[in-house]
Amino acid sequence: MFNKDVILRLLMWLPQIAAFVFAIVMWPKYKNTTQRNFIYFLGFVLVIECLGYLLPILYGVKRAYVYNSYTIISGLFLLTWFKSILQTKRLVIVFIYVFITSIGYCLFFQEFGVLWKIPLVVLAIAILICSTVFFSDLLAKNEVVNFKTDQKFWIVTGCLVFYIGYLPLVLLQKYFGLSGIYYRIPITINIILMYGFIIKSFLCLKKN
Amino acid sequence: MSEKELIFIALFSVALLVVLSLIFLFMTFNNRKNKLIQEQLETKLNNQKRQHELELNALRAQMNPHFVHNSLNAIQYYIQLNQVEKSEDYLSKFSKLMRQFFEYSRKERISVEHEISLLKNYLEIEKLRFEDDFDFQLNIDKVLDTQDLFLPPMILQPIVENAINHGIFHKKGKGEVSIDFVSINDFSFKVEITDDGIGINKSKLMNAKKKQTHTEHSSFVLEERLTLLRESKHWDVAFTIQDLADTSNKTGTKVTLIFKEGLNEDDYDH
Repeated sequence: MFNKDVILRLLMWLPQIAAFVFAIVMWPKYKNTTQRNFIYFLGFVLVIECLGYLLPILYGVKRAYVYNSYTIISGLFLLTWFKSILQTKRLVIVFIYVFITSIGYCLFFQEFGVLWKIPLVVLAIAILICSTVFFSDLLAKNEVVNFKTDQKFWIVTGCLVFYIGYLPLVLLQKYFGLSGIYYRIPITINIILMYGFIIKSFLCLKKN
Repeated sequence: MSEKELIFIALFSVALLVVLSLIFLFMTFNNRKNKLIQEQLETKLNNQKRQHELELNALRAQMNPHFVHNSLNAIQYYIQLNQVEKSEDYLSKFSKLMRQFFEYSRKERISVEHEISLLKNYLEIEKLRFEDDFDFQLNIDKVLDTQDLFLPPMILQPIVENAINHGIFHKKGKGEVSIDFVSINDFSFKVEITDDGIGINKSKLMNAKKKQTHTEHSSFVLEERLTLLRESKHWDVAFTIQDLADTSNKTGTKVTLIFKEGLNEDDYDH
């Protein structure tokens, strides 16, 4: 009844929708924290997914336009969030500049209609380093005792898991000829894992 | 190797990387968490152990062998003088005091009323020892709720003992100790122990020439107990000691303790 594409899309969208629903339900519990903007971010993710699906069908717009815009906005959002939660802010500022430079490079030297890999790789490396710094900071604090009820811990774990799986996929894609279903299945699993951890980050607020 | 096999190996490696990262992450955090909890428990246990040691020391300080010996000697003296009624009266006070020492030392807190009763007993026995050279006054604020306000046991008696043995003992002529219980508000009160002895400065000079005395030891025990009580967050006891000669023409020492009670009342319900 359903083809593989639809199933994979549904599998990808379901955790994203669920994360947005939990973000709305748990809003009073984190509205005064550094995670308050995640509700808008998760809403934005859903809008992007809809646009990424509908625009090419309805208006023949290239999907890369939507996903490149998503890369720029989500990258800046995540790096800004890391800047607000990490003690070593200079490091994150450097990553923001490098990320913006990589976008600038792509704007001048690559087409907008092709999925930009350089900003994605820069973003993945930056987030992996920021996540490591966050975990090492947390390990040095007494709050580590309650890490399972720390919303930031679960969100960072989600980001780490996604980008740790995503980075080799992007880098090896060319060499191993990863495309079509072989590329989309691992990406979908990564997305499910990441949004699973984001959902957990909202659920742990209940225990708090 | 075929292209499909290569893709499979690549994807399997990525999946393995993700899983191993997650396992490593959670193992690291769980180990650190357990280590921290263990450290916190050990610190708490050590503090409790030290608290119990100090309580035992405080009890030993109260059960000062010199005090017991002198009190029994004084009772014996009255027996020899054939003052049976007086000796019986003091013997009963002495036995009551011993019972109170043991009973209260087991408790985490005692009411002000019980502390006053213990001090009264103790002071009356000391009066027997010093006879006319010693007198005492116990002044209790009328608004002070002596039944519902509490304080840690074995805190005031060692201070009173210091006042007598260090302040008044070395004074020529009659000495007096005055203990004032003053209400501050519903949850806190002040205790002032004043003696008209030689004063703490002079007493320290005298003791400096000797080896560590029992009184010095009990003062150390008291100070450490007050620190631990503050750390336990059940009590907030402010402690000040003042030589009266520093601020007036009088001689003597004034010790002031301010008890702020009720920080963690629920902890006593068990």
